[in-house]
Amino acid sequence: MIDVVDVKKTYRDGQREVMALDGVTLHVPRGSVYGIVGESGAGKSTLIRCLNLLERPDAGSIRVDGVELQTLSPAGLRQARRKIGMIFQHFNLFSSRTVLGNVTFPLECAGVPGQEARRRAREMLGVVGLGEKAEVYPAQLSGGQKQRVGIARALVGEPSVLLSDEATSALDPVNTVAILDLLRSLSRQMGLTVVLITHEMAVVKAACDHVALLEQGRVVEEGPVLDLASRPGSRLAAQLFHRYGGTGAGAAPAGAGTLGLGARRRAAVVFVGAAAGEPLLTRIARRYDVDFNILEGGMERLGDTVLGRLVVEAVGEAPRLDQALTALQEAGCRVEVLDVA
Amino acid sequence: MPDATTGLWPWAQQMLQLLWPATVETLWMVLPSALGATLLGLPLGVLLVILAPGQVAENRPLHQVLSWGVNAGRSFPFIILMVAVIPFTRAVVGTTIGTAAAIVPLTIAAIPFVARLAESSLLEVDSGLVEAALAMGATPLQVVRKVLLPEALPSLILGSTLTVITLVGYSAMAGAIGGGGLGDLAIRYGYMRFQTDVMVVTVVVLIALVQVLQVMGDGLSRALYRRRSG
Ligand SMILES: Nc1ncnc2c1ncn2[C@@H]1O[C@H](COP(=O)(O)OP(=O)(O)OP(=O)(O)O)[C@@H](O)[C@H]1O
Ligand SMILES: [Mg+2]
Repeated sequence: MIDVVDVKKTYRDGQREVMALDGVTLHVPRGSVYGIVGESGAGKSTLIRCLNLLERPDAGSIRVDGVELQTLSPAGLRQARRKIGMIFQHFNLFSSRTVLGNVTFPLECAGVPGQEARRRAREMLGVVGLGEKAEVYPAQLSGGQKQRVGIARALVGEPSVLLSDEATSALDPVNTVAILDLLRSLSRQMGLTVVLITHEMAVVKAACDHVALLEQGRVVEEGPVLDLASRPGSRLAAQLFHRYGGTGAGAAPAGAGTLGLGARRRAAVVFVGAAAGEPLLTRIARRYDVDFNILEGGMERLGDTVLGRLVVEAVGEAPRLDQALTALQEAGCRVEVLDVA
Repeated sequence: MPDATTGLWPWAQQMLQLLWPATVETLWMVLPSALGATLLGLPLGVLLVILAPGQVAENRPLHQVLSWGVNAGRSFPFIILMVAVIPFTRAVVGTTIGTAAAIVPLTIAAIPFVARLAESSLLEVDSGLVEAALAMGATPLQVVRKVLLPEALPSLILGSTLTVITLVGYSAMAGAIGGGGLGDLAIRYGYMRFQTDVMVVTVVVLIALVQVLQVMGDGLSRALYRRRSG
């Protein structure tokens, strides 16, 4: 849906030059909720602003829905922007317009007749749960309500992409969850592709199915969230699952396995979805006559998916052990053998 | 001063006969000038904002030229401007003396003033709003009409109030070319004929006029703010 290839952007600030984007390449699949994380100053805002050309990159290509934005005429770019909604950290609502007037704004700009624009805006306000507030001014709304207006305004033109720059950073935890749930359900209903910038891993966990880590203007890691969980040495995974994810191969408690004789395998096992709910380990342990010693682990909710991540030590006869681990994989788990003894 | 032979009532009537037409003349000079200066100065202020670096219609050379021109206009002493535009005044109103003739230099003098005031009001508008509008596919003209002007309206009204009040002051000088008005009255009677009472009353009327204008402007601006903030 969105293809960013080798995008570069340098800010000149008097003598100083800041390389905000240093060759960013990204592919955002259609219908995904794509998180971009990174520390302050990593270039997240610059990158997302390039996706609707609020910022023009110095080099590289930006294709949205197959169209290279940089080759468009001013009118063509306005047309393209109408299909790319955007929401902001500080909402950026027009104080001179009512809630309804804010939501009709993009339609007015596109030349939709007033009555039709108001009808569609009211409908959209209903979708975000603010049907009652159409006639009030934004100053009278809470932060969460303001962001709902922002979402309604961004989506009333039925865009195919929604850009969100820290849209929940100014909200309390309760509203953050509510807004993220709204974004997820809207993205599914409308077949929307969402690019979501955040500095909070909790937001990625709650809403994203893909994530990229940006550092000093470069993408240093990227992929589907569920894959990262089992990726060895993943820094994103370490941050996403910080309670026990920091454990690499070397960090297991020494001599933890005291389960008698036989071979040992230490493995990271990730259960996804339905598999996490089953007493799978016990079943496989019985079937192959091996023992699982759980060294650490826990459950996570990633969007709608339940994810279990365990580090286990399997003890038993060598061929049986390998069969047991294979069986785990066949049952839908991701298994990564950390060390063999 | 009222004395035993004239009495208070006849004195008041005499004052009214002097002051009423002068007040009307002042307003007749000031209000059309303010309107004309706004019609010409506001677009200039908008241009100063949108042509500036980083704005929706960025154009550095044009911005520089306009900015320089506005500064030049503002530094022109009004009394000299009045004389300098006499040929233009004659071409526009057909005469160079009288109230109507004063409107021309007053308008011209107020244009750069209005432009700078409007510029500073428009610059107060959160750049995030302009960005949001552009992201929604607004044209530069739509940004001006639907975002910059409405968002800055309460502040623009305060600027207009200031313009009108400044013009009341300038209009006193316009008496020099036979424009009439309150300032002219104060000078003719109070200064040249030593009728101190006329001068004092005229000044009181001027103060009252300025107060009324200020209260009206503040009230309108505040009413708009209040409507928006509920
Ligand atoms: N308009 C600008 N002029 C000069 N430098 C800029 C400009 N915008 C951003 N930068 C610089 O570019 C770098 C990337 O900024 P950017 O705003 O993209 O970071 P970010 O990841 O969004 O940070 P944050 O989490 O704080 O919002 C920073 O070093 C910043 O100082
Ligand atoms: Mg940012």
